[in-house]
Amino acid sequence: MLKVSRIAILLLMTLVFAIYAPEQARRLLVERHVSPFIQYSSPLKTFFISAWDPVDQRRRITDLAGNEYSQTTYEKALPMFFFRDLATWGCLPESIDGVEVTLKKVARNRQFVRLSPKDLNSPVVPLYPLYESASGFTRLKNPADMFRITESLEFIDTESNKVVTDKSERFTRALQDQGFTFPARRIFGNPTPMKPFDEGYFITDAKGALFHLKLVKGTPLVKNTGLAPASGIRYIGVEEDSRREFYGLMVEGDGRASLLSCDTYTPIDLPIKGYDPDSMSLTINCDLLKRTFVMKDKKTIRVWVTDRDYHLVAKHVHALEGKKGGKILKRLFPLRVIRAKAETHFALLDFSWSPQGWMASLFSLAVLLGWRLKKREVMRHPEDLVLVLLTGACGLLAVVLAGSCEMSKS
Amino acid sequence: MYKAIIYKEWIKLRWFLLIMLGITLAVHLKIFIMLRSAVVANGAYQLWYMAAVRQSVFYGDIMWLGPFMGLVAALAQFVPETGKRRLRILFHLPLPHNRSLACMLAVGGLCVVLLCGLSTLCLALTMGTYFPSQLVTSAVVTASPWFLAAVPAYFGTVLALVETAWWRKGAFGLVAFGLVLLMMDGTLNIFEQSLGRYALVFALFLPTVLLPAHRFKRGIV
Repeated sequence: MLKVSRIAILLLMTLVFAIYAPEQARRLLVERHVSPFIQYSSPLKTFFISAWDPVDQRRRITDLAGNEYSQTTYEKALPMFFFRDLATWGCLPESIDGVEVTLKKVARNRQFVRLSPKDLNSPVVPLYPLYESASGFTRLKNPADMFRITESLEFIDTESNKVVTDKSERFTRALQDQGFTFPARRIFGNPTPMKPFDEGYFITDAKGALFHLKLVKGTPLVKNTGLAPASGIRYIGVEEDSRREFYGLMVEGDGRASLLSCDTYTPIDLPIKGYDPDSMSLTINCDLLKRTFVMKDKKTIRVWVTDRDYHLVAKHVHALEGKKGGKILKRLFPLRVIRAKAETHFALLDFSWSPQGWMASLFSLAVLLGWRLKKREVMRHPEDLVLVLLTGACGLLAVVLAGSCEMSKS
Repeated sequence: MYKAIIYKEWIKLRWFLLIMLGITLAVHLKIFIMLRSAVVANGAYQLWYMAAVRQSVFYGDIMWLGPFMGLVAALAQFVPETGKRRLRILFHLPLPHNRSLACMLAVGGLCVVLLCGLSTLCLALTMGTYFPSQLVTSAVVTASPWFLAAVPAYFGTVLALVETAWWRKGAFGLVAFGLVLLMMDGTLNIFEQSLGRYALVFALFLPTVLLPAHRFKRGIV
């Protein structure tokens, strides 16, 4: 039992060191990192890259040919992005590619959509407010209840904390009348009242079919969108934008991304390829002239530019340099216990072994053997050798601190 | 013999248990009063919106209750034993010392579990007064890691007290504090996917006291 006790102490100590030591080492090895910002210039028909130069320690703006630009020239080349500065300077172009450009038109045609892996891996409380979408007022009014949807749709009065039976039955029946099969699988919506209007919720039923639910003048409005992708729908980022071109970005179970058209519910295919929603972020930038799709992971930034009808105009792939600190960490710590990742909001307890840490392992093992040789007890606690070989310095520190269960009065 | 050990532990723990019970109820009463006043002042919808959509955590006051209970229970049980090396008397009882130690730890652990259980029940009742089951479940899931942190707090304190070498006492204390800190996150449902893993890791604490107790018995530093 003493051996078990000692091994348990060793494992706990190693775990704590393997959590905290790499985290602190990462902080010590931190480098300035500014993600490159890549934009397509509609007037000049080329990409502009604004990136941090580690040699000069400043941000450099270049085009694909490597020509460097000043901030003013850069902004003039991107009138759809820096339109407010250009309007202030009085140099907003009157037209680009035959499209009339005014400050009002540019501002009204802008929309920015972003989806990061964290958005897909976040805690959710399955309670939702349903706003009246045709109240006649410009501001959305807070309802008196919230709803949950599983085996049926239930509204719960917030003051009494009791189910509002008649309203719940009306909405459940409205869904069933449109062919909705309970229980609901997933629900997507934008629950904030800080938006110009309300588009309600999109709900997938037990068969995977997608339904649209809204509250219109106190009555439920349910539409079967006719969409039921075989791989299911994983995410719809509903975003009420006054352009009313699409409801939001939709990601299917197999990672296929599209934009869900307003009113017709037709998915607009995106030109992007190789999108993995669990490891890549996707941003969609809509403006008066074009649509820009930026897909980013740890190694590359890929940009696709289309016209307003989603026909490909240009694309660019930008390789990102790996962080030196990460490589050093892998060499220093053969075992790292990871409790947070950029891709998820949830706490983790993942064990990551790096083969690159073999030198650190062998060095730690040599230190332990040298110490044991000096004390003429090489084969005492052979499990220590395995632990140090697998975990390097973290295991060695645990062995030193845990002490022995024998009579060695060290 | 077991009855005698249990009675001895009860005598050491009872007043501390009463104080911790009082603190637990006082903290939950404070949360209840705060929720009630928020409902009366702003209406229940605002509170529901904050809890469900903005994912606010209203019960962060109970975050350190679990580790505090673990720490106090361990101190109440083992400070009298380790002062003047009285724990050695335990090793001379007509019972294997592993068993008598396990009996002591079981009593202390059970007290902490009961207090944490009571605190969870109070949280569920408080939340259930104003919120539906979805938010009650989410509150219990959010608070579970805080109560789980009682395990490293209790066993870490016992380890530090029973250990003979001062530097090892410090190391055990730091390791336990490091593990407690891991769980002290006030984000809603953040441990939803990994709580089981952490619980498994904390189960490693169960046999740990035997080694320092052995060193205590033999006088190994």
